[in-house]
Amino acid sequence: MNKTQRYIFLSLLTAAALILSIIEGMIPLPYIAPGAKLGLSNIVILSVVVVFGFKDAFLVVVIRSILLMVVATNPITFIYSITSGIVSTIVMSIGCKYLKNIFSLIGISVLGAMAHNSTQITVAAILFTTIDLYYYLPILSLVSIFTGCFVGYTAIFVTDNLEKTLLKLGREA
Amino acid sequence: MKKKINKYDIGLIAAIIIINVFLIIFSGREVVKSNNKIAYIYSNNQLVREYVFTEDVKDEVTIETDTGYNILHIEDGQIWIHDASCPDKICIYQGKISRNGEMITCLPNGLFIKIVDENDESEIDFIAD
Repeated sequence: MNKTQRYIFLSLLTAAALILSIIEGMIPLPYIAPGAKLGLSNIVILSVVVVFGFKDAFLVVVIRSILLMVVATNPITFIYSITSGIVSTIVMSIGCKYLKNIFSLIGISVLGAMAHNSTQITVAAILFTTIDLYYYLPILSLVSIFTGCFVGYTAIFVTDNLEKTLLKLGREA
Repeated sequence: MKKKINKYDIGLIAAIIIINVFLIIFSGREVVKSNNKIAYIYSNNQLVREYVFTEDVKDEVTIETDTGYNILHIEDGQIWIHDASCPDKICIYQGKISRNGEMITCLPNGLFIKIVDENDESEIDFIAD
């Protein structure tokens, strides 16, 4: 796979992550706790971490967050989405590199979701200068197990197909 | 990369569930019945209003910031957000709060409401600060 093909794939995946983020905001969900959401775009981020590696995943996360701010949300939401996106990408990359013989993608995705929640609450606690918000962390962690399992299970299929496609592309070139 | 869920995944998930259920149980708040409740309303870290919180306080406040507005209602010893400019309305879904330690947050507008019982020990820490 040459450089151009790589960048085309990454831009398509960034677009997919952005669209999933926007669609996620439109799905009505029962209220559980502030900040509880599906994290659909994490499917794409996790797949990029597995198939392309940390550097490309980092790029995808940053560009996704900036575009999401421009298209759908505001600068304050951007602060939350970019910090927690970057931290969860780092955690998932470390998981993929050092824990891949222990956990499947589901475990790594749960770890990433937990990192995402913790960062989001930490950023909120800093912005509001109160530690009371950590009260929400246990309930958010329980929610993130369900979303993490779902995201991880989906990412298994996505990475499978993506790797097959890239292999085919490599053979044709 | 392992493709299927394995025993380590299940162990991790079980550990997280156990830890968090314990945390939820032990962080449960006592229901204190007292008339010394005070509701503090912060907007972007500035204390904008405070209410000594009794059954007969009745008020409607609109708090506006650069990013939008939140309309608060206070009635029957409860406080809740009636309307807000944010798209997800999470602050409205947080419902009515009335007990010591309960809070409402609105991340997009930087709004933070918290109820504090002045008979509580936490006040001592506050003075020590």
